[in-house]
Amino acid sequence: MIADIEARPVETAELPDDPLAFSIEAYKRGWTDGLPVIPPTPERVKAMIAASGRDWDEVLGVMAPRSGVVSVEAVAVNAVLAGCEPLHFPVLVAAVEAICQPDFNLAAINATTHPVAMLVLVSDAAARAAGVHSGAGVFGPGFRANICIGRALRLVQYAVAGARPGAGDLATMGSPAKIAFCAAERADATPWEPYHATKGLEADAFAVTVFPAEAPSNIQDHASTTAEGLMATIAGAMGHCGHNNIVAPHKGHPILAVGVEHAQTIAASGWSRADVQAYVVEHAKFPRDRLGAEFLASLKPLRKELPELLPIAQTPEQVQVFVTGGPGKHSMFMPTFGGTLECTVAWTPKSR
Amino acid sequence: MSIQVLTPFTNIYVAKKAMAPRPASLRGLRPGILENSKPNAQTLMEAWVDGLRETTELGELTIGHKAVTTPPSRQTLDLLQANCDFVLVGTGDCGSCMAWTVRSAVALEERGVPTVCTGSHVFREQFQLEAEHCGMPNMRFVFIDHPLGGISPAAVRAKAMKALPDMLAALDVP
Repeated sequence: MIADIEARPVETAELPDDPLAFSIEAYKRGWTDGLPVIPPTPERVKAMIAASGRDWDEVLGVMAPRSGVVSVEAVAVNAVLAGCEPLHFPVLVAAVEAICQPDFNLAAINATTHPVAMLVLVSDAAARAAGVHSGAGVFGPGFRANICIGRALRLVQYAVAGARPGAGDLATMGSPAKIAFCAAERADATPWEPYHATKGLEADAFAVTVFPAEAPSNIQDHASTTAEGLMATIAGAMGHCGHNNIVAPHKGHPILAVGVEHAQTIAASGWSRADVQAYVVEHAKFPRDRLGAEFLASLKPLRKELPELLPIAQTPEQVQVFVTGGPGKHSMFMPTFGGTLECTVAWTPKSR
Repeated sequence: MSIQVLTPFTNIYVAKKAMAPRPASLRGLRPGILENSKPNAQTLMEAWVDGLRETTELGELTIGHKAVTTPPSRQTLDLLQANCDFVLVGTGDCGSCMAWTVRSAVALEERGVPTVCTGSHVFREQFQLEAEHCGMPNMRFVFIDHPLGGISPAAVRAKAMKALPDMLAALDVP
């Protein structure tokens, strides 16, 4: 279908050149999330496009709910606004391609009242090229590439998809993870194959995966010295009620970001990623009888049976596991929206 | 002083879609329901069908099921297309179910089945925008007072009856 769709050049506008006045006017016009923005001059946009090696009018998809045609040029304009440098741009373009895939289900992602955000996980090779951080504080502030790429993806949603809070993005409360949510995997510290290899890619592939993720929730365990002990804590934290994965365990892909030290503890017991996934399926469960009768009744149409312990996933392959972050004995759990899947896009860099 | 910049917006792509011909009368027609497993959705739409039967003779009811946030299966669409002369689709009482209520109705209309999209009133504007962006701006809607979830079956039926005149109008019944 995309082959039949034309991307028209974006329009131009005259705005004040004073930095603060420019940002305020851009905000009034609905271009930004409220933070300051960089003027997308034709020169800056051109440099951004050149970094991708793509044509300006290449159509990457059509974005719901506005049915906006997302071109490489439009992504470049939003990238400049968000503060991206050209070296960030290939990652952003791939992330846009990922969220335009049907499995990502953008129509539901943007319309839902659920606080689903878009976690961009960058492969090691792509992260090194773009400067995406994978160490201490990986999901927080302080790292330009992480913040700018994550923010630019959200601005594309604003302008092209029309997903604005309260109109197009109907999240009841939203989430700080919707501002910017981008990280890389600790390829130097993961005891398992890189996450993107689980998607059939080579370990050194340039790739991103975008997850339909809630904001991360911490899991701390400073005491356990074995995989059995540590995974009991982790599965216990994941198997709580109220998130979408426990409502629809047959289709969600819950995410476990394992901290480096936790990963070392788990691997030292001889556990593989598959062992972690299987353990989560078996043990991340919530007691049925602690739920109210009315809520349980609402689950019955979705399930063949309601066992005593309600799982958050039914098969190990549903559980998404990667290693990231810095020193410390913490991991993080991210429930997902449910009727949507993570999508991966790989590319060949210009220099190869 | 000013600066020339490029704007972040793009053109849209909407393929216009034709709605199914509307029936001249409901008499003898076979109703259908496509319910999305939201709490009370089926109860609401069954109440409307019951309400319609009080004044009009209708054929057998067929109920199709879908998940909240994803499209109906081809088998479900086939079932409703084969057995129904009109279908109530719903219910959109949150965001993602609204989006896929509209998109499911579009799929049935394209198969020649007249539909009515149902939802709760706080999402009225989004229903209309979704239909426009799906290429079917004249889609028929009926809204009940929000919320639908977390209320008793009796309260659901009361909301359905209050909106029954709207349902008749949406079905284009003279």
